[in-house]
Amino acid sequence: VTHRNVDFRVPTLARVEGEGALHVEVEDDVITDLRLEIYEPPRFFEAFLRGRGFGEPVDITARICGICPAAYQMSAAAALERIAGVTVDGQLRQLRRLLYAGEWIESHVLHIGFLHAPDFLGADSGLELADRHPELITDVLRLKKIGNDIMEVVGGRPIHPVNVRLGGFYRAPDQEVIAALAEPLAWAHQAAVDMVRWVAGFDFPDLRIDHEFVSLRSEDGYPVLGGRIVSDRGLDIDVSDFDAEFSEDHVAHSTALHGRRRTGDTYLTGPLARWANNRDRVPPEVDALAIELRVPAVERNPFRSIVIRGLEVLVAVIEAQAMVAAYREPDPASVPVTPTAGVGWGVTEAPRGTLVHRYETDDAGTILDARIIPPTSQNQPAIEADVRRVVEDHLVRYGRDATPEADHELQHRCEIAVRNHDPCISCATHFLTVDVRDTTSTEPEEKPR
Amino acid sequence: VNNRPAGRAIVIGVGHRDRADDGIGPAVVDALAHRTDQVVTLVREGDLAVLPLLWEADDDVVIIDAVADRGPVGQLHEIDPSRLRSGVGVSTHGVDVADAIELARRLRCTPARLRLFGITARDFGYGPMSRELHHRVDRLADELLNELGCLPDVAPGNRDHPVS
Repeated sequence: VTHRNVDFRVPTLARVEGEGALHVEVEDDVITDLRLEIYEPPRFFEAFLRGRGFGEPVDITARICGICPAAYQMSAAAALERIAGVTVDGQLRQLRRLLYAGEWIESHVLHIGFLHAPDFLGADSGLELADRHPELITDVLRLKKIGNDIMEVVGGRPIHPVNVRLGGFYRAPDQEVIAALAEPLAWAHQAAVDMVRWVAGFDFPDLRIDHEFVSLRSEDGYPVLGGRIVSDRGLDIDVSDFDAEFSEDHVAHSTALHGRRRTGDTYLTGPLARWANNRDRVPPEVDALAIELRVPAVERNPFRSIVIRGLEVLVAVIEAQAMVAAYREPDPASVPVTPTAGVGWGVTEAPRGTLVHRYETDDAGTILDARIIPPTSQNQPAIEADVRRVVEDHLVRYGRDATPEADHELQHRCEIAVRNHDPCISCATHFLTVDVRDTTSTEPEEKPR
Repeated sequence: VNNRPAGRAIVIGVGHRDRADDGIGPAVVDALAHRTDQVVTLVREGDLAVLPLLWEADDDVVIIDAVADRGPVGQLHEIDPSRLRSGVGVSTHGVDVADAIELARRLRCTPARLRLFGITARDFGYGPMSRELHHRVDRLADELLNELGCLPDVAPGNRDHPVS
């Protein structure tokens, strides 16, 4: 019997947000090493927040990501408003949801058109895809621009919005400015349907994953702003019980913490999880389209996440249309929020998955402690597990007959397995905990890069 | 730019106003807007991936951006867009002007005429534009008007744009 060795390293993962690498090593048909290495330097946002004022995390944490800044603002606001005992509802809540819809649209279509679709169409980049399908990619860009326009109208800027504050907004957009979004959104509606049909027609590799799907579930539609944290295995908790069910651990090969269940099991947040836990919450038109395209109620093939992401774009467009039609300028643009001492958890659904914030404040509202748990940190072990499954399937399929071409294809497929979950490495690398070992008495551990 | 039979003349200033001298593109475009209505002026802060959507195929487009390490601060350079190198495709956190121009080419929506001007800047940190560059905004706007073949609509003494 000839045993096979496979050893490849992708030093810089392409078409992901941020800087990471993938290392896979197989010796005698056994996977001996498999690491999604995140080497982007830690950014210490949680440390920056200590000592800052009650209202500042909304603006500071927005700078964590240029793709999903509103998600950070919303989770920060949710946590701090909870400490203050304030509930933001009515038109102000709808306006926040509209801002978030814009972010879902721009983030998701960017991933679909430029980062993920090339994988299924034999293209090396979004540019190559633009060359081959200029009309399709132009529509993707138009969709993205509409998402950005919503963010600019509601948030004051297309990236890193400046109009969000605790209790609501600094200034409510004028009625006519919001109304002007109706026409582009009507175009976006059909474009989103067309995009879902396009991606649903791709040829997907077979793979079934069995991660626990964790997401929010709320009473007011598909989950975005708050709700309970649920899973397809019966989890149903308030976000304040997060630590009882989940852990975050440092590993040597990543500057982002690894999230796991307290049992040690992997879990997955993001579109696949939201879809599985909220299939009954989608608008009727999305439901009908999913049925027509034979999208299962629980999609366990991560390569097909692009279809779910497309359906979520349609959900966001439909919800944005409804909110634009029903918009009445809220007066005042915010409700009072008084700084106070306490501990508050906040959670919302960022495009890539569940985003948890926790703050501890003193009597003046000064931030004593901050924790931010982004979806990519939570998904890292699950992503590594997916890559492991891809390698195992490859070994079973080819055995000792694998050609160099097949092994090259394996590397490519492993990269897609990472991109399936749209990891945002830049978001994930802001952990605070750094373990320092006393190296005078023991051999030093490998240090995170 | 003037006397064209069809299409618009669009001047786009790109850069971040909160990143010191990087805001020179938007600042000069603001100054242009106060001098003439012969061109459409646009500002794009961040997210340059959608730049190709801002023009039509028969438009004349001028892009103004800050450049580093090119002579004294405030110097205006015309740059050949075809000589820029694009790196888009690796990530989307940093699509720059070169990437956006390449994307437009791939999408078959390069405008009828595309001119790219760089203005030498030094400080790309956080905060307001350096005084050194701020003082040159009006002169740069006049230089650009000359480059574009436009006569100012408003006499210098009647401009409401603050003259440094």
